[in-house]
Amino acid sequence: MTEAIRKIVIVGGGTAGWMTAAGLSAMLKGLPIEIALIESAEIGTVGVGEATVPHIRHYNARLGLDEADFMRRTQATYKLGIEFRDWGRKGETYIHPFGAYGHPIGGAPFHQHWLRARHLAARGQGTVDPIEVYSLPIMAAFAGKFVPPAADPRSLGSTFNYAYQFDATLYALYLRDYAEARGVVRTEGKVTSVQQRPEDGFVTGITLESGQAIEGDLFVDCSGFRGLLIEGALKAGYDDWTQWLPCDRAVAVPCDSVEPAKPYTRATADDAGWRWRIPLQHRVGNGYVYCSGFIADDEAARVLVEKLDGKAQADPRFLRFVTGRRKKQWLKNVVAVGLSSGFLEPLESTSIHLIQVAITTLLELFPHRGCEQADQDEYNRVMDLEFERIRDFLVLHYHANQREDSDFWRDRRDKPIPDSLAWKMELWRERGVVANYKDGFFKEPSWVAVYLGQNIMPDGYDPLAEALDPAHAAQILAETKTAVARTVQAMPAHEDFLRAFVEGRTRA
Amino acid sequence: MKILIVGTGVDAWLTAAVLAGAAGRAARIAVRETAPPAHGQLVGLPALLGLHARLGIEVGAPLLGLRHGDMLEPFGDTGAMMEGLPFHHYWLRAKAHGETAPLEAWSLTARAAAKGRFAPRSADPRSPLSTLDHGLLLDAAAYAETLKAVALKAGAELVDHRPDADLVVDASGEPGDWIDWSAWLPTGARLTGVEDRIATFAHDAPLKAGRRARAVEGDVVAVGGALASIGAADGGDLHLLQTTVSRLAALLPTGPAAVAEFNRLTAMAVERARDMAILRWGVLDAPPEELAWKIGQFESRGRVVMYDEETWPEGSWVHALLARGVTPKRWDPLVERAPLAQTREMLGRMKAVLEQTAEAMPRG
Repeated sequence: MTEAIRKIVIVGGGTAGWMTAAGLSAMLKGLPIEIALIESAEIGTVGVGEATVPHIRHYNARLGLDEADFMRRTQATYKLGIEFRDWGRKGETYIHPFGAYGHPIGGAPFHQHWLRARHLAARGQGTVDPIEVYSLPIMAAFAGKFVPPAADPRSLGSTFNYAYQFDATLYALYLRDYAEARGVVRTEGKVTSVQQRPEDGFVTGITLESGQAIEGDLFVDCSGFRGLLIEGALKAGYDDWTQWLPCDRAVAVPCDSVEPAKPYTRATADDAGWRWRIPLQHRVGNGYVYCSGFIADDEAARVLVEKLDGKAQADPRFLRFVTGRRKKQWLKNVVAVGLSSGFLEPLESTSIHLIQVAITTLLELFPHRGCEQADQDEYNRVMDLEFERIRDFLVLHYHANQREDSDFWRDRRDKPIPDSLAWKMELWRERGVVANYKDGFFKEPSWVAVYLGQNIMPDGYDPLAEALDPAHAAQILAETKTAVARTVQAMPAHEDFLRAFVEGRTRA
Repeated sequence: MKILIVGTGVDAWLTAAVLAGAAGRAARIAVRETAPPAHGQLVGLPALLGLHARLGIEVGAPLLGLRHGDMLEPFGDTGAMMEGLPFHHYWLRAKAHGETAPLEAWSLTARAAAKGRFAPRSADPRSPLSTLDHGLLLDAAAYAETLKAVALKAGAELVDHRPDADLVVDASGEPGDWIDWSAWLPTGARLTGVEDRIATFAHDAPLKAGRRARAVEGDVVAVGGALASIGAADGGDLHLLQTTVSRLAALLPTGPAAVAEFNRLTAMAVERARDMAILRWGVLDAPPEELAWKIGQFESRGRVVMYDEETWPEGSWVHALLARGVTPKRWDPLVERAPLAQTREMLGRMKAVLEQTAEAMPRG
């Protein structure tokens, strides 16, 4: 069947549903395709992912969103990275930045020269600074400063990227306006039954509680954890990854801001998981992701509330999940986007990113009415790889710890890790080499940040770093440090730039 | 660190030139030349120009494309991405509605070749000349001599004994214990001539196709002909040598984890280049899994699947798949966002601009 798709039905609103609706309505413009979205006011949205990664800027740009308007409407702040507290050992902190450390020198990456300097310093030759002093986004984040990256690629000011921290519920509402203005038809109601074609199981329509029937050619399941269509109707199955990522619950509480918003998200390791802290313009989002085998719900809520830095704005809200991935994220004519496709905890702010990758990949493989097997297979290959690579990066955070103060952390350190992570770590340990791949979000600087930040120190370094005379290398390192410090000093405070930008007094 | 290269010709001297340039005072590079460089002609892909720029050499004669059988595969871009979609989808749609011009009519490189014109690629992305690209036709012996001079100048030493080394590079061109691929590749490509800067190949070169099970075994790392044999005289062989050597410089595989990573990446790179050789002139009855997937995706919807460590760019795959008769059953439905008439007009205009641009390029 190569007849064109006539109607797409998105089941579920929330961040995934409205990002899909907005993305499809923008990118399918010009094709005679109706887009319907069904959402139920009764079923609340999860809206955990309030922090994003820089790719969100591409999504917003493709939609043609005005950045200042978007930031005003979603109470957004800028984000230069994530601060990890107490992960390696209690009392330690590091930032995973959206940007590289310095520039490669000669044939070797910058961090190799740093590793060599560290090695020499251990033998009493010279000194070495912590690696973060060579990263502009880290030093700007610690100083609470922000300007957008410079356009000139030769400038140090161009060596970073940024994302946002925003209110995901407001973002969904913003995109709802966008999508409805472009013809997406929203229907309020709860799905009570799903109709399938007897001969091949394709979904033909859904029926709402009101009795209204909605038919379609392609269905996007944005119904959240339960996967109303992908699992409920099609029984796609689920790969359970709790052996590697055992946290299965979260509790969330927003609180008042007590200080200017920081341009970064914080993830603090706690006794049975970790707590997020996401500063927005109007409040701070907080939550505790934990493993129910190690802490009770009320205790987790108590810890979270006790450690808030402002007054709580609501009662604690609990969530349950199973980390893992739907065995087929696209099956027959149903594509799962968002939590229905799988769940990876928001430790590296990848929830919204995974929604975005799903939408982009669906558009790249946009099908005809028959949803050919080749389209489904390729989609699932691409998404499986994306999920697995993020999973390994998350597992690294848990595994690479030296904490002795909690059973949970000892357990995480001792439990086996996926083979695909084990060999990456061996490669790093030997000589500080980061395994290379083309697809997948987290690249060399991210891995370097977490390895070093959590005390996984390589035994050696790239022999090519020795191409440089140690004094010369030390000079380049010192110059980089000075240039970073000088550039940060000249930057405005994050809060000042943010206010001026959203109020239209300055342009990005 | 001490590295000994044992072998001959371009395999040995390209390795020496790259390693000596990258290592500087960090490593001592010794070369034991086992035989004088072989004679013959080599084809290099456009990516070789970047390496030559870094090494500071200008060698060879420009090549504008490859001809396997009747089909031309020009270097450079064919058409341009429009609205985020690869050009060939628009062409497939136009073709289904009466367009008769072949895909390469939208390749400036191909048009220049047909008119006997030549210009280097322009760095200005707004100029149609930025879609040009060229490979190189090289005299094997002279090329080896040039690389040797670069290597020796960068500090590589010529030795006639076998000094101690941390890493030995086998650049002998001698096959090892091959994983046998002869069922897929019973023969190799052979350069039969160059006309209008297009290199033409026959596919009757004797070949014992395969690769070493492990690129690094003990302290010996195989490169070039000693690593694998896929008969890709069309530039694939030389490009594999180039990427193997840059990987060697990046990983200097002496520890077990670096060795494992080098072997993993090198195996992938060799296999992706092998897949292209099979597609161009090999046996397609039961292709390797990744190639089968690639063919299936292209046949189904004109999608080119690019894996890690590919030798050939996406455009080359499009030409080679079409040349082998793999025709997409559909084009990307998103091209239909533009009305057909508009697409045809756009294609017509692009073709005219390329034709004029080619006409205005210098003869040479």
